[in-house]
Amino acid sequence: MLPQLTEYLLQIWNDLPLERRRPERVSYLGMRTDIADGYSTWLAFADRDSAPLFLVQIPRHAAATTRLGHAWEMLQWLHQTAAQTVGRSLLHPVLWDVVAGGHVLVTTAPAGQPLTDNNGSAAKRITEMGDWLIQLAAATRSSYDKAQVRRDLENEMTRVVERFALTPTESATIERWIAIWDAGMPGSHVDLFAAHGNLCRRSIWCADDRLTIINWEQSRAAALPLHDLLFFALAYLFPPTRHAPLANFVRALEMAYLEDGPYAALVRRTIVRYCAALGLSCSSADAHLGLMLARQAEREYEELHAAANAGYLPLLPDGASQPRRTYQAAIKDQAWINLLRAFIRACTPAARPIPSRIRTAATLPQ
Amino acid sequence: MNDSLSLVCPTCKAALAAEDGSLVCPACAARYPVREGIPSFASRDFYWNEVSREQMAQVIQAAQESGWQTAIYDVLRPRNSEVYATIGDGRRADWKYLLPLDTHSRALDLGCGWGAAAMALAEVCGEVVAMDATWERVHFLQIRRQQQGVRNLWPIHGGDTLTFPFPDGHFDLVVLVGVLEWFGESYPELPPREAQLKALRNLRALLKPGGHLYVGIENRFGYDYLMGRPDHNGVPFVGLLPRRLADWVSRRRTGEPFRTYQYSIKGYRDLLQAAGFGQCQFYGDLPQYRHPHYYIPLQESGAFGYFLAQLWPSFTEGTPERAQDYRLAYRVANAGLSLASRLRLAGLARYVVPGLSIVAQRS
Repeated sequence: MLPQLTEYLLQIWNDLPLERRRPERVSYLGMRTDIADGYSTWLAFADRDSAPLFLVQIPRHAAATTRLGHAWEMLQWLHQTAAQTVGRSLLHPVLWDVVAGGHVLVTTAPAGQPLTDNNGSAAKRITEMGDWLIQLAAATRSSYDKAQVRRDLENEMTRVVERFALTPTESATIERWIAIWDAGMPGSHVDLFAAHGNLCRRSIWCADDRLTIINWEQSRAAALPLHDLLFFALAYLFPPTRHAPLANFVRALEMAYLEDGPYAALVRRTIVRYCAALGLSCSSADAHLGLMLARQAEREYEELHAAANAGYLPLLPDGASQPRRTYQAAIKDQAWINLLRAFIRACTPAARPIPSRIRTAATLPQ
Repeated sequence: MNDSLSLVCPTCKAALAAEDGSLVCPACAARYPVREGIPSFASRDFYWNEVSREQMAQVIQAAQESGWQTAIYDVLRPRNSEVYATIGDGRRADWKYLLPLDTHSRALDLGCGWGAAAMALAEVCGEVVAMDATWERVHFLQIRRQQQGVRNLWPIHGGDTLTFPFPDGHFDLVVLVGVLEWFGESYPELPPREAQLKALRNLRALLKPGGHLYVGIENRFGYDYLMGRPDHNGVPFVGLLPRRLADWVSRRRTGEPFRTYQYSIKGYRDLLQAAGFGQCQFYGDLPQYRHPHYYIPLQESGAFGYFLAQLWPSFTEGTPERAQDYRLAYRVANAGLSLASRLRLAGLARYVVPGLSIVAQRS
């Protein structure tokens, strides 16, 4: 496919939004992505250039094709809607077309390298992303009928409850989160904001303090506030491999939200700052976290299931308490559903109340 | 048996005819059985697999009863997690995107193993033939492709004789993943390099003019071998030695000659050119060719330099899986690279990448 893509791009080079003269040849560097992503990623280099010129993503199955098509539309919309604020951190869409019988998404290439511990401290990154998310939210804010949003939310959570056969107690906790969210949004309309949806380290590239955000296939134009910030702060602590024990993921949740350590304090301050900048209340932050975890659990299952059905069997780590599980059980017992259950346990009356800690943070000296 | 697949007699190249559940050559009367819908051209009962034959029988039974995913997760994985990680991960064949394949392309995967690459090729090609000398492997692949509804993939039992039931000039692509080094075992009467040349020339004949050969294989001087990773005969460092000395050491240590030849980048280029292939492109596979997380174009200094500067520092974090498995190798490689960078010799790192993806074209 890449040779055919090269031939096609060279034919239409002058029409492409690439600031470079037409090259003699193009070479490709392949980078593996998570099996759940469902696509293959390649950086393209023109002639002897030492910086990539564009990024190619090739979907492996129908579900991934749909997601990449959505990413194409989202990038175009963001460049129209939020160009003045976050446009500089976005890749430019170049091509979304069928080549050699399969779809391919081409964008400009990110500068620098993916986010790691080596290219910035946690404090710096949390602060940076908080600022960036405030800009994104401010640029994409729009008002929606609250009753419809609640119905959509309830339908989504019902699917989660059924998918993972949550207990009545777990289901009741999710219902309580929806009620808390509702109570925190007076009036008949609520503001929703664009969300990236997969703001993990490998979706963020940095070069000389400039950030580029890639992988928009899980994005939404209208999502609950705080989704990306809560996701990022948690995923920042994830182990580098999905194959790590599930306990490592739960530990990340504890460090980010359930303990009183410096990282959790940093996260709380950023949440407070984010809410203040957008005129939102922090009081339902815990509910937003729970709803985010639930949404991610469903998304993770859908992605892994789609990948497995297409023949890309995911590497499923052993469960914390059940090291030997069947395939059907393992695919419904992955990172995010374990995080959801851990947070539900933390929100039970017997545990330390999470809501009071986040609310209290609003009164702490900065 | 899929009637739409053109099969010919491996001996005389006459078109085969179906007769009483077998394939028969009308010219030389040779007869080839068909089992479970799979034509068999193997010369003997050969079994090579990562699990025992008894365990494989359990995997196949579970695949038939409960599905292939359940079989390899529930039955195989507890016994061999490494193989589990290999079988179901089609990302191992992402090299397919480097080739000019389309829905009209025909591909042959020789030594297909459990079929992960063949299944991945079936997504982009019009016809994929997956051949293996171990019956159980092609049987598993047959079950899997039926369950996934893949209609353009034909498992075939055979390949051990290196004579093939296909007409000359039939394929656009021939794939050899972890196979080239074993051709020395297929022709024990020939020196290993001559055996490899003979096999490559036979395969070249199956390609259309301008068709491609893909080879996934270790680099003889890969840094993992330099660190003492055992060669295919279980002896460390033996592949680094001159061939005659390697043979002597192998006979002393194992009682067997050293016949699993691997080469440097230049060595592979010379071998392929001698076999009638040209325009070789080399990609470095990291951490290794069986589970590549990066395909690095080795002949493009710009891209290679970019990888060293921007992606290598985050290697363990950029790889979603198996980062733990390569932690030691990464540290050693990182130390070596740091030293080489100080000496302005970082570009030489391309010659010690552990795995190679080679794309060659029939001249």
